[in-house]
Amino acid sequence: MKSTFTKKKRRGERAGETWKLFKKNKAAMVGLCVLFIFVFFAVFADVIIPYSKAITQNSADRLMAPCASHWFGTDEFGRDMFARVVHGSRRSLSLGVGTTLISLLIGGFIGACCGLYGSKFDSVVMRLCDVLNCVPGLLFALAVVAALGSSMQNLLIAVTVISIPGFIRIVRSVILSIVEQEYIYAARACDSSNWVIITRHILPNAMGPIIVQASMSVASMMLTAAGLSFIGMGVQPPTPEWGVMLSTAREYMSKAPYLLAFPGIAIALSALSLNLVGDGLRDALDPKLKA
Amino acid sequence: MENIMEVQHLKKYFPVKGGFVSHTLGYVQAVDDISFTIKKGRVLGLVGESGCGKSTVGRTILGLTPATEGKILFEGEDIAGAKGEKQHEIRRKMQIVFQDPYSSLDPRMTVYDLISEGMVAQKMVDGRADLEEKVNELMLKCGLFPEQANRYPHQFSGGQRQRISIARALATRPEFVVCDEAVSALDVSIQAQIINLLKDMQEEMGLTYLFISHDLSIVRFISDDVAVMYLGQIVEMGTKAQIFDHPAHPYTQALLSAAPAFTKKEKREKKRILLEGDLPTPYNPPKGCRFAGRCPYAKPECQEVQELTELEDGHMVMCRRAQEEARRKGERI
Repeated sequence: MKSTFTKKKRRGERAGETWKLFKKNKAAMVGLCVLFIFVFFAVFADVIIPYSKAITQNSADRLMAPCASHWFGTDEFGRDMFARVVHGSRRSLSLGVGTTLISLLIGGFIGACCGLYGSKFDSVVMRLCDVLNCVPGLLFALAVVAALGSSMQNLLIAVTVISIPGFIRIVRSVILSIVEQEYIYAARACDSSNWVIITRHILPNAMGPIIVQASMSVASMMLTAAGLSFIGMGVQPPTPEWGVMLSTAREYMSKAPYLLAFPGIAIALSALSLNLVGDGLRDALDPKLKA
Repeated sequence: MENIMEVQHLKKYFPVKGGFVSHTLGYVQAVDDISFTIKKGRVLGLVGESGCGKSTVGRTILGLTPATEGKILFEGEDIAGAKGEKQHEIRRKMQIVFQDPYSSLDPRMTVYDLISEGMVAQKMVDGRADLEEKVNELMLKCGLFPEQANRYPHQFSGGQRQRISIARALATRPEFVVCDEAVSALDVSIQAQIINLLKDMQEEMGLTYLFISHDLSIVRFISDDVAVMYLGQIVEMGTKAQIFDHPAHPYTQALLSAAPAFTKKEKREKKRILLEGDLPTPYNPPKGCRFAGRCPYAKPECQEVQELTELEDGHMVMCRRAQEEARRKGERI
């Protein structure tokens, strides 16, 4: 037999393959583009339109329909809606992504400990999760905000806490199903260190469900935060945030429906795009789909 | 020939937990007091029906699950519960090939990574070029194409996957390999190829195998010695010829009678022994002979505790009737 020399693929090559596969997924690419636009808005909000436009009140221009000078119209105080939606993306996106990252880190760590070390610690944590799950999420967040006072920071704490049990459960169950697999035994049989087993075997195999949960969580965090702001428990006016904007817009629903439409579309689009990207990422990372 | 592996009174009990505060209700006696030795360069076939504790023996020997009691002597050294440096050293010398080539290969790793993992963990290579060369060599040895090294396991057939498993197991240049039903999940034609590969490797690298299987014809082909397990105990043990030509334990006889006959002579002489009843649960096994409940020759005295006794050189059996018969035969001569 002719010997052909084996070369290990470098990390960059593998990332390239993943990207190629991701590109093939049209829905995910659309999601990524939309997400890109939102991130662009969030990062360059001040360049696109000055923040002062989003908060300066101008009673002469109250409730104007979308026109050339105010693309998305103006609200009940004559503030430019386009500026408010653009600047709102900063708050809303950072809120969704930030809280998800924090709860993923905390929940993932606790869940991994439960799955890997189990026994008593696991039982206690699981019962605590049950307790947290019994309380409706929004109600719990309400209680936290009511107790600590309504501010952006407390809102963050509230939505983070309610999403932690979900992450604990997902990570724990995924890890439990992986540690009993024979390939983990095989890795232990050649005495790979725990670090290698966790980073090379368990994490890559656990990635799929966790990515999906995280991407859905970003969207649901944004919605929860928007909901809390909607009932006046979150971000306080006049700070532009999509939820707050929706909440104030409902009073003018019949007179100026566009007030409701633009922040609503923004929330829906960003949530949808995140879900699409999450799904695409999960598929692209799965070697079974690589050609 | 020296003993490479000596197992003495090995026990493995799994606790059964339950109740509100999850306390231990009892133990499943998966492996209950078994002893055997394997000489260097030989193959011990471990047979028995599913659930009798064969795989548990293999995993316990490798330290993948801790032994409840007993000694495991590897090259004369007790390795039960070994930790740190010692464990690291042992795990290079002992490897395992699993039954299911679908769940024993990490689906997210390429063949290259799978084969090189052991060598990296054992720091047996210097530099990337050396590692690449070694992986290359192993793949060729095991009948794989090195240009497929960057593929993932799911892109291979069952037989090729098992070749990958074998290449991985041999990567650390072990002396002792546990083949845990290594060919049971494969087609018959592929089984033959894999068995031949295992045999070639044994000759080439001077390996010693513990070959766990429920397939008698394969065990007959590859083994030098055979041990028969029933419900966590070894009921009969001896050389291949002793077990297959003069089975003494009624369970072994029943097992052998269940294997298909091929030649006319075999078919004529074959008597099928059908066993009544089911395997008792290892949760609360019978006190005396564990096989008594299904044995066609059972007598009241079989309820007493049985011992593994030698019939003739090396042929051990745990059965009162067989022992008495052997004694009578001895008297007659």
